[in-house]
Amino acid sequence: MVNKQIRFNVLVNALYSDLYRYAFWLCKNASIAEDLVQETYLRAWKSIDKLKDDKAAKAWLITILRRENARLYERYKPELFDVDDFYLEDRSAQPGQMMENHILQKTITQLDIEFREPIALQIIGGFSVDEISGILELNKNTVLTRLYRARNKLKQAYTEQAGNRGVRNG
Amino acid sequence: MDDLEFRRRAYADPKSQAVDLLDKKNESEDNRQFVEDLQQFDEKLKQAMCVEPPEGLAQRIILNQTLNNHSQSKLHRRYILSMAASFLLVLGLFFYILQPVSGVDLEREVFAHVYEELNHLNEQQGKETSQFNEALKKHGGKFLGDFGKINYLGSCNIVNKKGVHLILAGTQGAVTVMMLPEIKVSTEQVISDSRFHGAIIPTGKGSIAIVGEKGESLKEIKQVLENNFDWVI
Repeated sequence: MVNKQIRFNVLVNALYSDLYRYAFWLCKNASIAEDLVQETYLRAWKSIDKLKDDKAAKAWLITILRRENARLYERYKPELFDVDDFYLEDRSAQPGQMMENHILQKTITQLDIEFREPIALQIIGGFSVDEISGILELNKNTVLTRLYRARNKLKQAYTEQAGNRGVRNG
Repeated sequence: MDDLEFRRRAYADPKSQAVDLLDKKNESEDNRQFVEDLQQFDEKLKQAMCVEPPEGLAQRIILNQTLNNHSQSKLHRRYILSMAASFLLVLGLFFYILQPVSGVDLEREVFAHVYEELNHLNEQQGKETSQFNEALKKHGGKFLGDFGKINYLGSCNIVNKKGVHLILAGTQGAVTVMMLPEIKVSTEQVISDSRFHGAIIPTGKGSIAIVGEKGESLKEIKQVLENNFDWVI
């Protein structure tokens, strides 16, 4: 029987980054994202015995996080965040890439949540369409449609803006 | 699969390994390029979305869980108990320090000050009550009465606390009034020595000391002060 604390620590170290990133795109605020992740892991600790298969841990944690977000949603009101103020510093990126990142990040922020969530689950979480279906409790066709529309919007906006700024492609 | 469906499915999931999608992709160079463009775009998306978490987040998560865990344990209860005890001790000390200045000390200090400034008892500065009020303002005091002419108006220092020093004409000589905003007394205290007598009276956050020659009735001046004065701040 693996010690509960060890099991928990492994889950933290392996998945905290992705959880944080997902939380970030959910609420669009770094400190709320951190709070969400903290709360998620606290709840995860309490019901870790319910997790039978560690391979399902990521989806399980994301589900808890979504629930926490729903609880806090009324309090932090994400629609009040000004998209123009949105700027993320990426210490590792090259200058040209920072510009690309910025364009994409801004566009992602502008997506409605029903498009932002599936694309975040796919890109950050690496989940399959079926897994996304399960997490969001939507049927597969709805998920496919939303992914298509999200990626379409993003690509369009990117092509327009990157073209305007003369950013090199590829 | 028609072209429209191909586009939509490729857009929805560029990395899809569905057989029918792969077959369609391999039908033409255009189709292959189409999917590859989308996969490259996904790489950019990934770069943009994979923001760096705050430094030390993993450690904070584990720490938070550990602390939260211990809140159930006996250790935590003992810790809380000892913290509470320390807090009560500090609180007790705080109130002890805030005790009003001891009665005997204050009487001695007031008289000492009168004796130090005996020469002022004979002054005739002819100051106005309005000037007295100006001096009071600094200490947050307000006087609504009228003393007529004030023989001496100055500041004083009793047990290292500042106040306003006033000397008025009495029937048996001068009467000293000390306005003491920072000295709190709990009850009125009658004071006397061989020459003088008087009282230290509580007035809200501070107090007033009145000293006159023995035989001087201080009742009236005491009443005027009590009825017309307050430390407002």
